[in-house]
Amino acid sequence: MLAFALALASSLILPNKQAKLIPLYYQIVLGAFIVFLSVNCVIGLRSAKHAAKFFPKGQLFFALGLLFFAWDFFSAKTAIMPLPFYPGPTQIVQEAVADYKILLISSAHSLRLFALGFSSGIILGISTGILISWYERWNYWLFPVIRVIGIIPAVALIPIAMGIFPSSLMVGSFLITMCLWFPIAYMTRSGIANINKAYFETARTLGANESWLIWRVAVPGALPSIFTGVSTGIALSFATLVVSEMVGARAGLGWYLNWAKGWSVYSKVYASIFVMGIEFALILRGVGAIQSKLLAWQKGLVK
Amino acid sequence: MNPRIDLKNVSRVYSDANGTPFTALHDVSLSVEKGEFVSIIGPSGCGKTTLLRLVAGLDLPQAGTVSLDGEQIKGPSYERGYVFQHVNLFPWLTVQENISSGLKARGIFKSRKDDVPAFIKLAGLEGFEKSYPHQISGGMAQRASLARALINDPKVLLLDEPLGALDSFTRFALQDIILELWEQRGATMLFVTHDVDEAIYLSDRIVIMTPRPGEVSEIVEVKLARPRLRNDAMFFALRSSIMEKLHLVGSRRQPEYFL
Ligand SMILES: Nc1ncnc2c1ncn2[C@@H]1O[C@H](COP(=O)(O)OP(=O)(O)OP(=O)(O)O)[C@@H](O)[C@H]1O
Ligand SMILES: [Mg+2]
Repeated sequence: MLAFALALASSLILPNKQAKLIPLYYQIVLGAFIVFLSVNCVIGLRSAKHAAKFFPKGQLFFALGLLFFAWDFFSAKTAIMPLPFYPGPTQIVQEAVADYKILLISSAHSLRLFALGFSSGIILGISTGILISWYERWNYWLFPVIRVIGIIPAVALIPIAMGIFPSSLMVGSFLITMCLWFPIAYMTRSGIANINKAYFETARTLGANESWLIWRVAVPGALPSIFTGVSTGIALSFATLVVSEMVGARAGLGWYLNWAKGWSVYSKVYASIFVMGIEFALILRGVGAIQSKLLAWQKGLVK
Repeated sequence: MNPRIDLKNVSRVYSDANGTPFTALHDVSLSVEKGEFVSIIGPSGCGKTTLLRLVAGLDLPQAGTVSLDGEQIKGPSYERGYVFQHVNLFPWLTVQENISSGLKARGIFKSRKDDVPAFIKLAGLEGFEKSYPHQISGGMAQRASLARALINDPKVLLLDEPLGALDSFTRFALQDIILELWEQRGATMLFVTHDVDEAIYLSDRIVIMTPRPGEVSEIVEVKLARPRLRNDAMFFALRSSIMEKLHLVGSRRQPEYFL
Protein backbone atom coordinates (compact mmCIF):
# COMPACT_ATOMS: atom_id res chain seq x y z
CA MET A 1 0.00 0.00 0.00
CA LEU A 2 2.80 2.31 0.94
CA ALA A 3 4.53 1.72 -2.34
CA PHE A 4 1.38 2.50 -4.24
CA ALA A 5 0.94 5.64 -2.25
CA LEU A 6 4.48 6.54 -3.26
CA ALA A 7 3.73 5.85 -6.90
CA LEU A 8 0.55 7.88 -6.70
CA ALA A 9 2.27 10.74 -4.92
CA SER A 10 5.05 10.83 -7.49
CA SER A 11 2.53 10.74 -10.29
CA LEU A 12 0.68 13.65 -8.74
CA ILE A 13 3.63 15.75 -7.70
CA LEU A 14 6.43 15.32 -10.19
CA PRO A 15 5.93 17.18 -13.41
CA ASN A 16 5.66 15.23 -16.63
CA LYS A 17 8.44 15.68 -19.12
CA GLN A 18 6.58 13.87 -21.85
CA ALA A 19 3.97 16.01 -23.32
CA LYS A 20 0.20 15.73 -23.55
CA LEU A 21 -0.54 13.29 -20.77
CA ILE A 22 -3.71 12.99 -18.84
CA PRO A 23 -2.56 11.33 -15.60
CA LEU A 24 -6.03 11.07 -14.12
CA TYR A 25 -6.80 7.53 -15.35
CA TYR A 26 -3.49 6.16 -14.21
CA GLN A 27 -4.06 7.78 -10.86
CA ILE A 28 -7.45 6.14 -10.66
CA VAL A 29 -5.83 2.75 -11.30
CA LEU A 30 -3.32 3.38 -8.52
CA GLY A 31 -6.09 4.63 -6.27
CA ALA A 32 -8.08 1.48 -6.96
CA PHE A 33 -5.07 -0.60 -5.92
CA ILE A 34 -4.79 1.40 -2.70
CA VAL A 35 -8.47 0.96 -1.91
CA PHE A 36 -8.26 -2.75 -2.73
CA LEU A 37 -5.24 -3.22 -0.46
CA SER A 38 -6.73 -1.17 2.36
CA VAL A 39 -9.98 -3.10 2.28
CA ASN A 40 -8.06 -6.35 2.37
CA CYS A 41 -5.97 -5.11 5.28
CA VAL A 42 -9.03 -4.20 7.28
CA ILE A 43 -10.65 -7.58 6.60
CA GLY A 44 -7.34 -9.24 7.40
CA LEU A 45 -7.20 -7.56 10.79
CA ARG A 46 -10.69 -8.83 11.55
CA SER A 47 -10.46 -12.39 10.26
CA ALA A 48 -7.45 -14.60 10.83
CA LYS A 49 -8.35 -16.82 7.89
CA HIS A 50 -8.28 -13.96 5.45
CA ALA A 51 -5.08 -12.64 6.98
CA ALA A 52 -3.34 -15.97 6.48
CA LYS A 53 -4.35 -15.90 2.85
CA PHE A 54 -3.66 -12.28 2.12
CA PHE A 55 -0.75 -11.02 4.23
CA PRO A 56 1.94 -13.32 2.79
CA LYS A 57 1.32 -11.57 -0.53
CA GLY A 58 2.20 -8.20 1.01
CA GLN A 59 5.76 -8.15 -0.28
CA LEU A 60 4.59 -8.99 -3.75
CA PHE A 61 2.21 -6.04 -3.81
CA PHE A 62 4.92 -3.85 -2.35
CA ALA A 63 7.25 -4.76 -5.20
CA LEU A 64 4.48 -4.16 -7.71
CA GLY A 65 3.92 -0.68 -6.32
CA LEU A 66 7.63 0.06 -6.50
CA LEU A 67 7.68 -1.20 -10.05
CA PHE A 68 4.90 1.18 -11.04
CA PHE A 69 6.76 3.98 -9.35
CA ALA A 70 10.05 3.22 -11.07
CA TRP A 71 8.39 2.77 -14.42
CA ASP A 72 6.53 6.03 -14.17
CA PHE A 73 9.63 7.73 -12.86
CA PHE A 74 11.96 6.62 -15.63
CA SER A 75 9.52 7.16 -18.48
CA ALA A 76 7.08 9.96 -17.96
CA LYS A 77 8.88 11.87 -15.25
CA THR A 78 12.45 11.86 -16.41
CA ALA A 79 12.21 10.49 -19.94
CA ILE A 80 15.27 8.31 -19.43
CA MET A 81 13.40 5.53 -21.21
CA PRO A 82 12.72 7.07 -24.64
CA LEU A 83 9.51 7.12 -26.59
CA PRO A 84 8.00 5.65 -28.61
CA PHE A 85 9.19 2.20 -27.50
CA TYR A 86 8.91 2.69 -23.77
CA PRO A 87 5.76 4.56 -22.92
CA GLY A 88 4.99 5.15 -19.26
CA PRO A 89 2.12 3.60 -17.40
CA THR A 90 0.25 6.87 -17.49
CA GLN A 91 0.18 6.88 -21.22
CA ILE A 92 -0.77 3.22 -21.52
CA VAL A 93 -3.68 3.53 -19.16
CA GLN A 94 -4.72 6.65 -20.98
CA GLU A 95 -4.67 4.89 -24.37
CA ALA A 96 -6.52 1.91 -22.97
CA VAL A 97 -9.25 4.18 -21.67
CA ALA A 98 -9.43 6.11 -24.91
CA ASP A 99 -9.68 2.92 -26.96
CA TYR A 100 -11.74 0.96 -24.50
CA LYS A 101 -14.53 0.25 -26.96
CA ILE A 102 -12.23 -1.26 -29.57
CA LEU A 103 -10.37 -3.17 -26.89
CA LEU A 104 -13.59 -4.61 -25.50
CA ILE A 105 -14.82 -5.63 -28.93
CA SER A 106 -11.44 -7.12 -29.74
CA SER A 107 -11.42 -9.07 -26.49
CA ALA A 108 -14.90 -10.34 -27.21
CA HIS A 109 -13.77 -11.47 -30.67
CA SER A 110 -10.73 -13.22 -29.28
CA LEU A 111 -12.81 -14.85 -26.56
CA ARG A 112 -15.37 -16.12 -29.03
CA LEU A 113 -12.64 -17.55 -31.21
CA PHE A 114 -11.02 -19.17 -28.22
CA ALA A 115 -14.29 -20.58 -26.89
CA LEU A 116 -15.06 -22.17 -30.25
CA GLY A 117 -11.63 -23.69 -30.70
CA PHE A 118 -11.37 -24.72 -27.07
CA SER A 119 -14.66 -26.57 -26.88
CA SER A 120 -14.21 -28.40 -30.17
CA GLY A 121 -10.59 -29.22 -29.24
CA ILE A 122 -11.67 -30.74 -25.96
CA ILE A 123 -14.51 -32.72 -27.45
CA LEU A 124 -12.39 -34.02 -30.33
CA GLY A 125 -9.41 -34.69 -28.05
CA ILE A 126 -11.29 -36.71 -25.48
CA SER A 127 -13.30 -38.67 -28.01
CA THR A 128 -10.20 -39.48 -30.07
CA GLY A 129 -8.43 -40.52 -26.88
CA ILE A 130 -11.28 -42.84 -25.95
CA LEU A 131 -11.52 -44.31 -29.44
CA ILE A 132 -7.85 -45.18 -29.64
CA SER A 133 -7.77 -46.62 -26.13
CA TRP A 134 -10.84 -48.72 -26.64
CA TYR A 135 -10.48 -50.04 -30.17
CA GLU A 136 -7.21 -51.55 -31.25
CA ARG A 137 -8.01 -50.76 -34.88
CA TRP A 138 -8.45 -47.05 -34.25
CA ASN A 139 -5.29 -47.05 -32.21
CA TYR A 140 -3.36 -48.71 -35.01
CA TRP A 141 -4.34 -46.11 -37.59
CA LEU A 142 -4.81 -42.97 -35.56
CA PHE A 143 -2.08 -43.07 -32.95
CA PRO A 144 0.81 -42.59 -35.42
CA VAL A 145 -1.12 -39.72 -37.01
CA ILE A 146 -1.48 -38.05 -33.64
CA ARG A 147 2.16 -38.57 -32.87
CA VAL A 148 3.19 -36.89 -36.12
CA ILE A 149 0.66 -34.08 -36.36
CA GLY A 150 1.01 -33.41 -32.65
CA ILE A 151 4.59 -32.30 -33.18
CA ILE A 152 3.79 -29.80 -35.93
CA PRO A 153 3.11 -26.35 -34.46
CA ALA A 154 -0.41 -25.31 -35.33
CA VAL A 155 0.76 -21.93 -36.66
CA ALA A 156 2.57 -23.77 -39.45
CA LEU A 157 -0.86 -24.77 -40.70
CA ILE A 158 -2.01 -21.17 -41.12
CA PRO A 159 -1.45 -21.00 -44.90
CA ILE A 160 -3.32 -24.24 -45.46
CA ALA A 161 -6.12 -23.29 -43.10
CA MET A 162 -6.52 -19.94 -44.82
CA GLY A 163 -6.89 -21.74 -48.10
CA ILE A 164 -9.48 -24.18 -46.83
CA PHE A 165 -11.72 -22.11 -44.61
CA PRO A 166 -13.75 -19.16 -45.86
CA SER A 167 -13.75 -17.01 -42.71
CA SER A 168 -10.98 -15.93 -40.38
CA LEU A 169 -13.10 -17.07 -37.45
CA MET A 170 -13.03 -20.60 -38.78
CA VAL A 171 -9.31 -20.44 -39.50
CA GLY A 172 -8.59 -19.30 -35.96
CA SER A 173 -10.82 -21.80 -34.25
CA PHE A 174 -9.48 -24.57 -36.42
CA LEU A 175 -5.93 -23.73 -35.38
CA ILE A 176 -6.86 -23.59 -31.70
CA THR A 177 -8.67 -26.88 -32.06
CA MET A 178 -5.51 -28.39 -33.49
CA CYS A 179 -3.52 -27.08 -30.52
CA LEU A 180 -5.78 -28.82 -28.04
CA TRP A 181 -6.87 -31.89 -29.95
CA PHE A 182 -3.59 -33.79 -30.02
CA PRO A 183 -2.21 -33.22 -26.54
CA ILE A 184 -5.60 -34.03 -25.07
CA ALA A 185 -6.04 -37.15 -27.21
CA TYR A 186 -2.55 -38.29 -26.26
CA MET A 187 -3.01 -37.66 -22.56
CA THR A 188 -6.48 -39.23 -22.53
CA ARG A 189 -5.01 -42.35 -24.02
CA SER A 190 -2.16 -42.58 -21.58
CA GLY A 191 -4.49 -41.73 -18.69
CA ILE A 192 -6.81 -44.58 -19.61
CA ALA A 193 -3.88 -46.94 -20.10
CA ASN A 194 -2.68 -46.19 -16.57
CA ILE A 195 -5.96 -46.98 -14.85
CA ASN A 196 -5.71 -50.02 -12.64
CA LYS A 197 -7.40 -52.92 -14.46
CA ALA A 198 -9.12 -53.93 -11.25
CA TYR A 199 -11.47 -50.94 -11.55
CA PHE A 200 -12.73 -52.16 -14.90
CA GLU A 201 -13.07 -55.70 -13.57
CA THR A 202 -14.96 -54.53 -10.52
CA ALA A 203 -17.30 -52.50 -12.68
CA ARG A 204 -17.97 -55.55 -14.85
CA THR A 205 -18.82 -57.71 -11.85
CA LEU A 206 -21.19 -54.95 -10.75
CA GLY A 207 -23.08 -55.21 -14.02
CA ALA A 208 -21.53 -52.39 -16.04
CA ASN A 209 -21.92 -52.33 -19.80
CA GLU A 210 -19.37 -50.91 -22.20
CA SER A 211 -20.61 -47.34 -22.11
CA TRP A 212 -20.56 -47.33 -18.31
CA LEU A 213 -17.00 -48.59 -18.39
CA ILE A 214 -16.05 -45.74 -20.70
CA TRP A 215 -17.90 -42.86 -19.09
CA ARG A 216 -17.85 -43.91 -15.44
CA VAL A 217 -14.51 -45.64 -15.15
CA ALA A 218 -12.19 -44.72 -18.02
CA VAL A 219 -12.98 -41.00 -18.24
CA PRO A 220 -13.00 -40.16 -14.52
CA GLY A 221 -9.93 -42.30 -14.01
CA ALA A 222 -8.11 -40.53 -16.83
CA LEU A 223 -9.31 -37.06 -15.88
CA PRO A 224 -6.15 -35.98 -14.03
CA SER A 225 -4.14 -36.85 -17.09
CA ILE A 226 -6.68 -35.23 -19.42
CA PHE A 227 -6.21 -31.98 -17.52
CA THR A 228 -2.48 -32.20 -18.05
CA GLY A 229 -3.21 -32.40 -21.76
CA VAL A 230 -5.56 -29.43 -21.51
CA SER A 231 -2.99 -27.22 -19.84
CA THR A 232 -0.34 -28.14 -22.40
CA GLY A 233 -2.78 -27.39 -25.20
CA ILE A 234 -3.99 -24.15 -23.67
CA ALA A 235 -0.51 -22.67 -23.49
CA LEU A 236 -0.01 -23.45 -27.18
CA SER A 237 -3.44 -22.18 -28.09
CA PHE A 238 -2.84 -18.70 -26.63
CA ALA A 239 0.16 -18.23 -28.87
CA THR A 240 -1.73 -19.60 -31.83
CA LEU A 241 -4.71 -17.39 -31.12
CA VAL A 242 -2.64 -14.21 -31.22
CA VAL A 243 -0.65 -15.21 -34.28
CA SER A 244 -3.70 -16.30 -36.24
CA GLU A 245 -5.41 -13.00 -35.47
CA MET A 246 -2.33 -11.07 -36.44
CA VAL A 247 -2.10 -12.60 -39.87
CA GLY A 248 -5.60 -13.21 -41.03
CA ALA A 249 -8.23 -11.58 -38.95
CA ARG A 250 -9.95 -8.23 -39.11
CA ALA A 251 -10.90 -8.33 -35.43
CA GLY A 252 -9.57 -9.53 -32.13
CA LEU A 253 -6.71 -8.60 -29.82
CA GLY A 254 -4.05 -9.93 -32.17
CA TRP A 255 -5.43 -7.81 -34.95
CA TYR A 256 -5.55 -4.74 -32.69
CA LEU A 257 -1.95 -5.38 -31.64
CA ASN A 258 -0.82 -5.58 -35.23
CA TRP A 259 -2.82 -2.52 -36.21
CA ALA A 260 -1.37 -0.45 -33.36
CA LYS A 261 2.10 -1.56 -34.38
CA GLY A 262 1.38 -0.55 -37.94
CA TRP A 263 0.75 2.99 -36.69
CA SER A 264 3.72 2.79 -34.34
CA VAL A 265 1.47 3.58 -31.39
CA TYR A 266 3.43 1.60 -28.86
CA SER A 267 1.33 2.61 -25.91
CA LYS A 268 -1.58 0.89 -27.66
CA VAL A 269 0.58 -2.18 -28.25
CA TYR A 270 1.33 -2.32 -24.55
CA ALA A 271 -2.29 -1.72 -23.66
CA SER A 272 -3.42 -4.66 -25.78
CA ILE A 273 -0.68 -6.84 -24.34
CA PHE A 274 -1.94 -6.07 -20.86
CA VAL A 275 -5.50 -6.83 -21.83
CA MET A 276 -4.33 -10.13 -23.31
CA GLY A 277 -2.48 -10.96 -20.13
CA ILE A 278 -5.56 -10.30 -18.05
CA GLU A 279 -7.82 -12.21 -20.40
CA PHE A 280 -5.61 -15.28 -20.60
CA ALA A 281 -5.07 -15.25 -16.86
CA LEU A 282 -8.82 -15.23 -16.37
CA ILE A 283 -9.23 -18.16 -18.77
CA LEU A 284 -6.57 -20.13 -16.90
CA ARG A 285 -8.29 -19.28 -13.63
CA GLY A 286 -11.58 -20.57 -15.01
CA VAL A 287 -10.04 -23.81 -16.23
CA GLY A 288 -8.26 -24.17 -12.89
CA ALA A 289 -11.52 -23.74 -11.03
CA ILE A 290 -13.22 -26.40 -13.14
CA GLN A 291 -10.26 -28.68 -12.63
CA SER A 292 -10.21 -28.38 -8.87
CA LYS A 293 -13.95 -28.98 -8.80
CA LEU A 294 -13.80 -32.09 -10.97
CA LEU A 295 -10.70 -33.44 -9.28
CA ALA A 296 -11.83 -32.68 -5.74
CA TRP A 297 -11.49 -36.39 -4.99
CA GLN A 298 -7.76 -36.12 -5.48
CA LYS A 299 -7.31 -33.58 -2.72
CA GLY A 300 -5.02 -35.08 -0.12
CA LEU A 301 -4.38 -38.10 -2.32
CA VAL A 302 -1.64 -36.53 -4.39
CA LYS A 303 0.43 -33.54 -3.61
CA MET B 1 -33.03 -69.63 -6.58
CA ASN B 2 -29.34 -69.82 -5.77
CA PRO B 3 -27.23 -71.54 -8.34
CA ARG B 4 -24.87 -74.42 -8.00
CA ILE B 5 -21.25 -73.99 -9.07
CA ASP B 6 -19.32 -76.77 -10.81
CA LEU B 7 -15.66 -76.77 -11.72
CA LYS B 8 -14.63 -79.80 -13.76
CA ASN B 9 -10.96 -80.61 -14.36
CA VAL B 10 -10.11 -76.94 -14.52
CA SER B 11 -6.57 -75.83 -15.37
CA ARG B 12 -5.20 -72.36 -15.72
CA VAL B 13 -1.66 -71.75 -16.91
CA TYR B 14 -0.05 -68.33 -16.82
CA SER B 15 3.19 -67.40 -18.43
CA ASP B 16 5.46 -65.53 -16.05
CA ALA B 17 7.69 -62.56 -16.78
CA ASN B 18 10.19 -64.70 -18.73
CA GLY B 19 7.48 -66.37 -20.76
CA THR B 20 7.85 -69.73 -19.07
CA PRO B 21 4.51 -71.36 -18.34
CA PHE B 22 3.34 -71.47 -14.75
CA THR B 23 0.47 -73.71 -13.69
CA ALA B 24 -1.67 -71.71 -11.27
CA LEU B 25 -4.46 -74.28 -11.20
CA HIS B 26 -4.04 -77.90 -12.14
CA ASP B 27 -6.99 -80.21 -12.75
CA VAL B 28 -9.25 -78.75 -10.11
CA SER B 29 -12.69 -80.22 -9.64
CA LEU B 30 -15.09 -78.78 -7.11
CA SER B 31 -18.82 -78.44 -6.69
CA VAL B 32 -20.60 -75.95 -4.52
CA GLU B 33 -24.23 -76.79 -3.77
CA LYS B 34 -27.05 -74.29 -3.98
CA GLY B 35 -26.82 -71.90 -1.05
CA GLU B 36 -23.78 -73.62 0.39
CA PHE B 37 -21.03 -71.75 2.23
CA VAL B 38 -17.64 -73.03 1.07
CA SER B 39 -14.30 -71.65 2.22
CA ILE B 40 -11.04 -72.04 0.37
CA ILE B 41 -7.89 -72.11 2.41
CA GLY B 42 -4.29 -72.64 1.48
CA PRO B 43 -0.88 -71.03 1.43
CA SER B 44 -0.11 -67.98 -0.63
CA GLY B 45 0.16 -68.62 -4.35
CA CYS B 46 -1.88 -71.81 -4.42
CA GLY B 47 -4.38 -70.37 -6.87
CA LYS B 48 -7.26 -69.25 -4.65
CA THR B 49 -7.71 -65.92 -6.39
CA THR B 50 -7.30 -67.59 -9.77
CA LEU B 51 -10.12 -69.98 -8.94
CA LEU B 52 -12.40 -67.17 -7.79
CA ARG B 53 -11.71 -65.14 -10.92
CA LEU B 54 -12.73 -68.11 -13.06
CA VAL B 55 -16.06 -68.37 -11.26
CA ALA B 56 -16.55 -64.61 -11.54
CA GLY B 57 -15.98 -64.86 -15.30
CA LEU B 58 -13.08 -62.42 -15.23
CA ASP B 59 -10.81 -65.15 -16.50
CA LEU B 60 -11.32 -68.28 -18.58
CA PRO B 61 -9.78 -71.73 -18.01
CA GLN B 62 -7.51 -73.31 -20.60
CA ALA B 63 -8.87 -76.73 -19.83
CA GLY B 64 -12.00 -77.95 -18.10
CA THR B 65 -15.27 -76.17 -17.51
CA VAL B 66 -16.66 -73.76 -14.98
CA SER B 67 -20.43 -73.76 -14.93
CA LEU B 68 -23.35 -72.30 -13.07
CA ASP B 69 -26.37 -74.61 -12.86
CA GLY B 70 -24.89 -76.52 -15.75
CA GLU B 71 -24.38 -73.46 -17.93
CA GLN B 72 -20.85 -72.52 -18.78
CA ILE B 73 -19.60 -69.17 -17.44
CA LYS B 74 -18.50 -66.85 -20.24
CA GLY B 75 -18.11 -63.51 -18.53
CA PRO B 76 -18.88 -61.50 -15.43
CA SER B 77 -22.39 -60.76 -14.22
CA TYR B 78 -23.82 -58.73 -11.36
CA GLU B 79 -25.46 -61.94 -10.17
CA ARG B 80 -22.00 -63.10 -9.12
CA GLY B 81 -20.83 -60.48 -6.67
CA TYR B 82 -17.09 -60.30 -6.20
CA VAL B 83 -15.16 -58.64 -3.41
CA PHE B 84 -11.54 -58.26 -4.43
CA GLN B 85 -8.59 -59.25 -2.28
CA HIS B 86 -7.19 -55.76 -2.59
CA VAL B 87 -9.81 -53.17 -1.83
CA ASN B 88 -10.52 -51.16 -4.94
CA LEU B 89 -13.22 -48.65 -4.33
CA PHE B 90 -13.38 -46.15 -7.18
CA PRO B 91 -11.21 -43.31 -5.85
CA TRP B 92 -13.18 -40.67 -7.75
CA LEU B 93 -16.48 -41.62 -6.09
CA THR B 94 -17.56 -40.98 -2.52
CA VAL B 95 -18.36 -43.87 -0.19
CA GLN B 96 -22.03 -43.47 -0.92
CA GLU B 97 -21.50 -43.29 -4.67
CA ASN B 98 -19.26 -46.33 -4.52
CA ILE B 99 -21.86 -48.35 -2.68
CA SER B 100 -24.58 -47.34 -5.11
CA SER B 101 -22.37 -47.81 -8.20
CA GLY B 102 -23.75 -51.31 -8.84
CA LEU B 103 -27.27 -49.92 -9.08
CA LYS B 104 -26.10 -47.13 -11.37
CA ALA B 105 -24.15 -49.50 -13.61
CA ARG B 106 -27.27 -51.58 -14.07
CA GLY B 107 -29.44 -48.52 -14.65
CA ILE B 108 -31.77 -49.26 -11.72
CA PHE B 109 -30.55 -46.56 -9.37
CA LYS B 110 -33.70 -44.46 -9.58
CA SER B 111 -36.01 -47.24 -8.48
CA ARG B 112 -33.76 -48.51 -5.70
CA LYS B 113 -32.26 -45.28 -4.42
CA ASP B 114 -33.95 -45.71 -1.05
CA ASP B 115 -32.06 -48.94 -0.35
CA VAL B 116 -28.68 -47.23 -0.27
CA PRO B 117 -28.83 -45.93 3.34
CA ALA B 118 -29.54 -49.43 4.60
CA PHE B 119 -26.33 -50.70 3.02
CA ILE B 120 -24.35 -47.78 4.37
CA LYS B 121 -25.69 -48.64 7.79
CA LEU B 122 -24.92 -52.30 7.31
CA ALA B 123 -21.30 -51.41 6.62
CA GLY B 124 -21.29 -49.08 9.61
CA LEU B 125 -20.38 -46.10 7.48
CA GLU B 126 -23.00 -43.60 8.59
CA GLY B 127 -21.46 -40.16 8.68
CA PHE B 128 -18.88 -41.08 6.03
CA GLU B 129 -21.22 -41.10 3.03
CA LYS B 130 -19.54 -38.06 1.50
CA SER B 131 -15.95 -39.15 2.22
CA TYR B 132 -13.64 -40.28 -0.53
CA PRO B 133 -11.99 -43.70 -0.25
CA HIS B 134 -8.59 -42.29 0.72
CA GLN B 135 -10.18 -40.48 3.62
CA ILE B 136 -11.46 -43.59 5.39
CA SER B 137 -9.63 -46.41 7.16
CA GLY B 138 -8.67 -49.70 5.54
CA GLY B 139 -11.32 -51.56 7.51
CA MET B 140 -14.00 -49.09 6.52
CA ALA B 141 -12.95 -49.38 2.88
CA GLN B 142 -13.23 -53.13 3.10
CA ARG B 143 -16.71 -52.86 4.56
CA ALA B 144 -17.67 -50.41 1.84
CA SER B 145 -16.54 -52.76 -0.90
CA LEU B 146 -18.53 -55.57 0.73
CA ALA B 147 -21.61 -53.34 0.78
CA ARG B 148 -20.97 -52.40 -2.86
CA ALA B 149 -21.14 -56.07 -3.86
CA LEU B 150 -24.12 -56.84 -1.64
CA ILE B 151 -26.40 -54.09 -2.93
CA ASN B 152 -26.82 -56.00 -6.19
CA ASP B 153 -28.41 -58.92 -4.32
CA PRO B 154 -26.03 -61.40 -5.95
CA LYS B 155 -27.00 -65.05 -6.08
CA VAL B 156 -23.37 -66.05 -5.79
CA LEU B 157 -20.98 -64.17 -3.57
CA LEU B 158 -17.25 -64.54 -4.17
CA LEU B 159 -15.20 -63.13 -1.34
CA ASP B 160 -11.42 -62.98 -1.64
CA GLU B 161 -10.07 -62.47 1.86
CA PRO B 162 -12.59 -59.73 2.52
CA LEU B 163 -11.59 -59.46 6.17
CA GLY B 164 -7.86 -59.70 5.64
CA ALA B 165 -6.84 -56.25 6.78
CA LEU B 166 -9.04 -56.06 9.84
CA ASP B 167 -8.30 -56.31 13.55
CA SER B 168 -9.87 -59.28 15.30
CA PHE B 169 -12.73 -57.33 16.90
CA THR B 170 -13.96 -55.93 13.63
CA ARG B 171 -13.27 -59.26 12.02
CA PHE B 172 -15.51 -61.15 14.42
CA ALA B 173 -18.28 -58.59 14.04
CA LEU B 174 -18.10 -58.76 10.26
CA GLN B 175 -18.05 -62.54 10.25
CA ASP B 176 -21.36 -62.41 12.09
CA ILE B 177 -22.73 -59.87 9.64
CA ILE B 178 -21.71 -62.06 6.71
CA LEU B 179 -23.32 -65.11 8.31
CA GLU B 180 -26.49 -63.20 9.04
CA LEU B 181 -26.71 -61.94 5.47
CA TRP B 182 -26.07 -65.39 4.12
CA GLU B 183 -28.77 -66.90 6.33
CA GLN B 184 -31.25 -64.20 5.32
CA ARG B 185 -30.56 -64.08 1.61
CA GLY B 186 -29.09 -67.50 1.12
CA ALA B 187 -26.53 -66.77 -1.60
CA THR B 188 -24.09 -69.47 -2.67
CA MET B 189 -20.81 -68.49 -1.03
CA LEU B 190 -17.20 -69.01 -2.02
CA PHE B 191 -14.99 -67.48 0.62
CA VAL B 192 -11.20 -67.32 0.45
CA THR B 193 -9.33 -66.92 3.70
CA HIS B 194 -5.96 -67.49 5.34
CA ASP B 195 -7.56 -67.93 8.70
CA VAL B 196 -8.47 -71.48 9.80
CA ASP B 197 -10.72 -70.29 12.64
CA GLU B 198 -12.63 -68.04 10.30
CA ALA B 199 -13.13 -70.86 7.82
CA ILE B 200 -14.47 -73.19 10.52
CA TYR B 201 -16.70 -70.56 12.05
CA LEU B 202 -18.37 -69.73 8.75
CA SER B 203 -18.39 -72.64 6.37
CA ASP B 204 -20.30 -75.79 5.55
CA ARG B 205 -17.20 -77.16 3.86
CA ILE B 206 -13.57 -76.15 3.72
CA VAL B 207 -11.48 -76.70 0.60
CA ILE B 208 -7.78 -77.10 1.35
CA MET B 209 -5.50 -76.23 -1.53
CA THR B 210 -1.79 -76.84 -2.09
CA PRO B 211 0.55 -74.84 -4.33
CA ARG B 212 2.87 -75.68 -7.21
CA PRO B 213 0.74 -76.55 -9.00
CA GLY B 214 -2.46 -75.29 -7.38
CA GLU B 215 -4.59 -78.27 -6.54
CA VAL B 216 -7.40 -79.22 -4.22
CA SER B 217 -5.79 -81.52 -1.67
CA GLU B 218 -8.74 -82.18 0.56
CA ILE B 219 -12.27 -81.07 1.36
CA VAL B 220 -13.29 -81.02 5.02
CA GLU B 221 -16.91 -80.98 6.05
CA VAL B 222 -17.70 -78.86 9.09
CA LYS B 223 -20.39 -80.74 11.00
CA LEU B 224 -20.82 -78.27 13.81
CA ALA B 225 -24.26 -76.94 14.69
CA ARG B 226 -24.93 -73.26 14.03
CA PRO B 227 -24.59 -70.81 15.67
CA ARG B 228 -21.06 -71.95 16.36
CA LEU B 229 -18.94 -71.30 19.38
CA ARG B 230 -15.36 -70.25 18.78
CA ASN B 231 -14.09 -71.95 21.93
CA ASP B 232 -15.91 -75.23 21.65
CA ALA B 233 -13.89 -78.45 22.11
CA MET B 234 -15.15 -79.75 18.75
CA PHE B 235 -14.06 -76.50 17.16
CA PHE B 236 -10.53 -76.94 18.52
CA ALA B 237 -10.35 -80.55 17.40
CA LEU B 238 -11.34 -79.63 13.88
CA ARG B 239 -8.92 -76.73 13.97
CA SER B 240 -5.92 -78.86 14.81
CA SER B 241 -6.81 -81.47 12.24
CA ILE B 242 -6.99 -78.82 9.53
CA MET B 243 -3.76 -77.27 10.75
CA GLU B 244 -2.13 -80.62 10.45
CA LYS B 245 -3.39 -81.00 6.91
CA LEU B 246 -1.93 -77.62 6.08
CA HIS B 247 1.38 -78.77 7.64
CA LEU B 248 1.22 -75.91 10.05
CA VAL B 249 1.61 -78.18 13.09
CA GLY B 250 3.31 -81.49 13.77
CA SER B 251 6.45 -80.76 11.82
CA ARG B 252 7.81 -78.59 14.55
CA ARG B 253 10.08 -80.03 17.19
CA GLN B 254 8.26 -81.08 20.35
CA PRO B 255 9.21 -79.08 23.46
CA GLU B 256 11.76 -80.96 25.52
CA TYR B 257 10.13 -80.29 28.82
CA PHE B 258 6.70 -79.33 30.03
CA LEU B 259 5.87 -76.80 32.65
N1 LIG C 1 -2.00 -62.62 -14.34
C1 LIG C 1 -1.05 -63.47 -13.94
N2 LIG C 1 0.07 -63.63 -14.68
C2 LIG C 1 1.03 -64.48 -14.31
N3 LIG C 1 0.98 -65.25 -13.20
C3 LIG C 1 -0.09 -65.15 -12.42
C4 LIG C 1 -1.17 -64.25 -12.73
N4 LIG C 1 -2.10 -64.34 -11.78
C5 LIG C 1 -1.64 -65.26 -10.89
N5 LIG C 1 -0.45 -65.76 -11.26
C6 LIG C 1 0.33 -66.76 -10.56
O1 LIG C 1 -0.54 -67.80 -10.22
C7 LIG C 1 -0.30 -68.25 -8.92
C8 LIG C 1 -1.56 -68.27 -8.12
O2 LIG C 1 -1.96 -66.95 -7.90
P1 LIG C 1 -3.22 -66.59 -7.01
O3 LIG C 1 -3.34 -65.12 -7.05
O4 LIG C 1 -4.39 -67.35 -7.46
O5 LIG C 1 -2.74 -67.05 -5.56
P2 LIG C 1 -3.52 -66.96 -4.19
O6 LIG C 1 -3.77 -68.32 -3.73
O7 LIG C 1 -4.69 -66.08 -4.32
O8 LIG C 1 -2.43 -66.29 -3.26
P3 LIG C 1 -2.62 -65.25 -2.07
O9 LIG C 1 -3.12 -66.01 -0.90
O10 LIG C 1 -1.27 -64.71 -1.83
O11 LIG C 1 -3.58 -64.24 -2.54
C9 LIG C 1 0.77 -67.35 -8.31
O12 LIG C 1 1.98 -68.06 -8.25
C10 LIG C 1 0.88 -66.21 -9.28
O13 LIG C 1 2.20 -65.83 -9.43
MG1 LIG D 1 -5.18 -64.22 -3.66
